[in-house]
Amino acid sequence: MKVFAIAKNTFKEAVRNRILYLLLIFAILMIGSSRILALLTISAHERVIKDIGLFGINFFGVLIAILVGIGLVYHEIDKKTIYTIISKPIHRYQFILGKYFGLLITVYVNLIIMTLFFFFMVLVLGIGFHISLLYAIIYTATELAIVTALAIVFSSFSNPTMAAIYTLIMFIIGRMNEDILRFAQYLARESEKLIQAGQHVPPFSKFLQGFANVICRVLPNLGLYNIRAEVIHAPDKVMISWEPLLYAFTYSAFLLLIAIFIFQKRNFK
Amino acid sequence: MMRKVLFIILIIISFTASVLLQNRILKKVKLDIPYIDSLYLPEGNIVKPLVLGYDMFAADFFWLRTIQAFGGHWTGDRVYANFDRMFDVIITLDPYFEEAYLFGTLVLGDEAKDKERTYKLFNRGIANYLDNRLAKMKDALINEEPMTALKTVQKLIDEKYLPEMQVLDLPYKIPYYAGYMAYFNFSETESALTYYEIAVRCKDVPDWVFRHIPWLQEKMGEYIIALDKWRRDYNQAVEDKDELIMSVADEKIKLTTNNYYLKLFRDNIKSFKEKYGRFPNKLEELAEKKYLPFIPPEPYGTGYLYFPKTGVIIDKKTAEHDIIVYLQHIKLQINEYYKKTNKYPNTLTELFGQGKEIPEPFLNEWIYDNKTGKIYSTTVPHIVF
Repeated sequence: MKVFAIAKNTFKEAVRNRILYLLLIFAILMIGSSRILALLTISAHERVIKDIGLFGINFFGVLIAILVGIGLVYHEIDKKTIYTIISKPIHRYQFILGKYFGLLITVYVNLIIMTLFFFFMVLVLGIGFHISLLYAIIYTATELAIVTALAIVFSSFSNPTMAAIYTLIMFIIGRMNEDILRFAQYLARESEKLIQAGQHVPPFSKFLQGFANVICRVLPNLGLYNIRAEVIHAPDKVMISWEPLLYAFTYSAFLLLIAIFIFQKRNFK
Repeated sequence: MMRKVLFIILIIISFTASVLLQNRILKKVKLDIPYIDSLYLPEGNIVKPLVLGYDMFAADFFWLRTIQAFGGHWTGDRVYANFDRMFDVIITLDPYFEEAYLFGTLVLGDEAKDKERTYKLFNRGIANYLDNRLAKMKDALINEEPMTALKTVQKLIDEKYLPEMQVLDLPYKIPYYAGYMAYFNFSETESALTYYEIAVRCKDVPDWVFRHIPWLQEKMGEYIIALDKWRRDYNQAVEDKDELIMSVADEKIKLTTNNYYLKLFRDNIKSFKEKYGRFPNKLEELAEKKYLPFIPPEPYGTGYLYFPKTGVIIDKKTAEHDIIVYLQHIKLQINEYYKKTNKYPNTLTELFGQGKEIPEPFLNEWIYDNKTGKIYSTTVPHIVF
């Protein structure tokens, strides 16, 4: 109940943030402009409209999660409002969870608005709605749950600028996760070749291979939620798998636990 | 109050001055400047990680930019030097961007006339759709030089590495357009055949694409294989009760048979001439001297025309058709001449000019009457224009 109250309050606070509206307007404009961009292409009109729509929803969803989320905890400390909260019978974990769910609701409300506008465009332009479009948005929502948790983690111990940088870096690494794995495999193949040729594998290469293998397992895999190519090329084959959904749940939980741990260690005197 | 009015007046003055000045500046702007490339791209493999998973959107962006760049060059210098890089980026970002491959045909094939780059783009396109069950073919298409890759693929087809059935999850249009480009733009029958062989194995291939294969095999002189395929088509059409395909296949069987027989005749007439120093007096002499086991019947039923003086042989149907085309053209020139001078030319040399006469296609003669303006060929004397 206390978590819900904080979440509700966080949502109210977030909707007063002008950045939110600015991003939402940009997103709507971008999705709307897909019709104009589609005029510039030779064939592939439907694809351009769908691509831009799905990109707009995902990209602005991520921006909202990062730009609104990075200041949530910091501002409470900066404006000293944290004292009025922690002086009440509220556990710090409840505060973090409330902030997380409040932000997530904000992000999802915006996601729903963008999605409704996108579906409206799809129907008006006679492209034909396919359920796979909804699947892509469900995956985007799942990805945003992780990004929101990342923003909360970094917001719990750093100022908004640093939190934005950290979250953005984690987002970039998350999106390149599978490339890091490929890099590790490439290094493994090269090492194998050197061994077969009777040559010595440089220790740095071994270290890099191990490091890449660890990184791609420890850091979030956000590429998992990118099914936009399948939605465009093989919509009938697109399925919602339970693994990415469960992964988002476990990874978000892990991030929130870290945020709670850090927040509990913080001294507000 | 006075200050407010003054403030508003200043706003109006500054705004009007800016608009007038801008209007003056815009008049000096050159509107028809030549197109200059403004997009210098690294390789697709470098761009891909940089777009952070927004591959589809980035592919669309580069796609729109490529169309724009094509328009710019098309109306300008018609140099398409960087386009393979643009397509490389697009198809690396989205390997299944079918339109990019087809548009690549237009730019690199039709416009740039660049065989290597066109084949390379198509080869990558085909490879991108292949799964690891066809790893050998995929590997050849990606890693080998485009022409070598096609030879390797043809070898794999001959070795039955590729299944005969339509199993490939590849849009048939990619290999089909590649075949079309190879034959019609680069006059490469063998490459075209390889691409068509891939096209007919695609799941979405329409029936009519199958007929390109015997057609090309015939062009390559593989008459028996072509005939065999046409016969299969005919039998299938009989089974399906498809009269249209039956008539098409029937026509193709006759045409291929005719071309095959004519080739047999011509090859043997040549050998006869080499041995005896003269052409056979009649076709039957080829059978008598054991060059042919028998004289095959002309498939259209109109018979062959053989001219012992020149050794030329042609079926009557084709001869009549060709002569009519020639006569129509010549007659048109005669009529033009008559309109200008009110008389017919004395000779065809006078009509066309010395050395510019139109030769009779079967090495015979044109018979021209300068009193009536009528003309015919000794090949088919009954056709008079």
